[in-house]
Amino acid sequence: MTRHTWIATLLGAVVGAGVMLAGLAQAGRLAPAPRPEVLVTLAQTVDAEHRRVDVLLKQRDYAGAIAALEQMRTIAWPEPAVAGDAAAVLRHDVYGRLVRLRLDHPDVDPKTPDALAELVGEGLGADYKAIATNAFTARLVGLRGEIAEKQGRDGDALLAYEEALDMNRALLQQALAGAAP
Amino acid sequence: MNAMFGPVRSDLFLRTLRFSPVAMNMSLRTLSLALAGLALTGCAKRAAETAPPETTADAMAGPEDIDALEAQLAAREDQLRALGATPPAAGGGGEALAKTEAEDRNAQADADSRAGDKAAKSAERQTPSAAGPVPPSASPTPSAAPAEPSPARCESVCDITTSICQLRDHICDLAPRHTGEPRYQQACERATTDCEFATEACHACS
Repeated sequence: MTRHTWIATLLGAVVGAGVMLAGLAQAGRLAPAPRPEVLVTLAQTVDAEHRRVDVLLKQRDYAGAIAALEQMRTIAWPEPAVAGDAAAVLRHDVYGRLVRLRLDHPDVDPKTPDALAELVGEGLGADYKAIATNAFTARLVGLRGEIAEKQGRDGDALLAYEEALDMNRALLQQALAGAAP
Repeated sequence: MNAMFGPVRSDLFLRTLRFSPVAMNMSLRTLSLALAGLALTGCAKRAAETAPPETTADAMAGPEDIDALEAQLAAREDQLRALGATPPAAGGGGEALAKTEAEDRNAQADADSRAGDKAAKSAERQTPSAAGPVPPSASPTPSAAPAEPSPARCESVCDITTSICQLRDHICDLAPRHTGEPRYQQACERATTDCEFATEACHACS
């Protein structure tokens, strides 16, 4: 290998590393710090939708309640980089209520256990374990267990129930210690 | 630096780069330093941009209109006091709102679940015992809870108890189908212990 080749290789490595670092730094601008106004707007939207579902359930309109939550499911849920983990917790709340209603009213717009499992997976997201322990995530994980049971996967059901139990145990300790769960 | 990379100098730079290996090595060092500087500048800029604001108010309000915002806040606090609610002393912001929303939904979720058959079944199966064993992971005992019992805290404890006992029901329903697998029975025993402890905590609190 000639001297020129070595120099060209070195030049390529230096330029490549520099471009990579500059790109990473630049990418930071695309993922800004959480925006509280987005979270507040989302929380208000979710709250309004839950109130609507309350009214529908009071009228025993289970199909309407499920449809309302299905509609809520389709909104563009903000990423944690935009609205923080609390947005994911709100999503777990909506999905948890939807799945609970679907399990309690299987005759309304019936879904297969596999479709429900997919729904729970979509609601939880890939990184739900990174979110601070809370009642809504715990409930959705417990529902994952119920669906796994319906799928005949008792081993997975047990794992999900135990995971939800661990979360609730932690919440109980927080509550007993005086911290808000 | 500007003189170094001005049009004339850059032309010279390119010529030396093309024709002189010695000068090329020197130029490479210069280029490496420049790229490193660029990367460091980018990283530093990113760090400054992504540093979290100290409070939600800091993030949402500029320094110019802080007085107006404080006046608005004071007016809102007066309205809250007039309605019988005590506003938080400081901070809070979006996180506090989200927490309130979450608590509201928690109560609703538990109200929903209480209405179900499973909850009724859970209530039947709950066997509170005064001398119930304490789970090894549960450090605070109900009687030794450091915080003063408040209605909201007790409601939380009892809501969590409902969830724990419902999970116990599910886990213990699995056990008879897997008699040859001890982990199911062990999980049921552990969940039962948790349910008893939580029930005791709920009763002690309320």
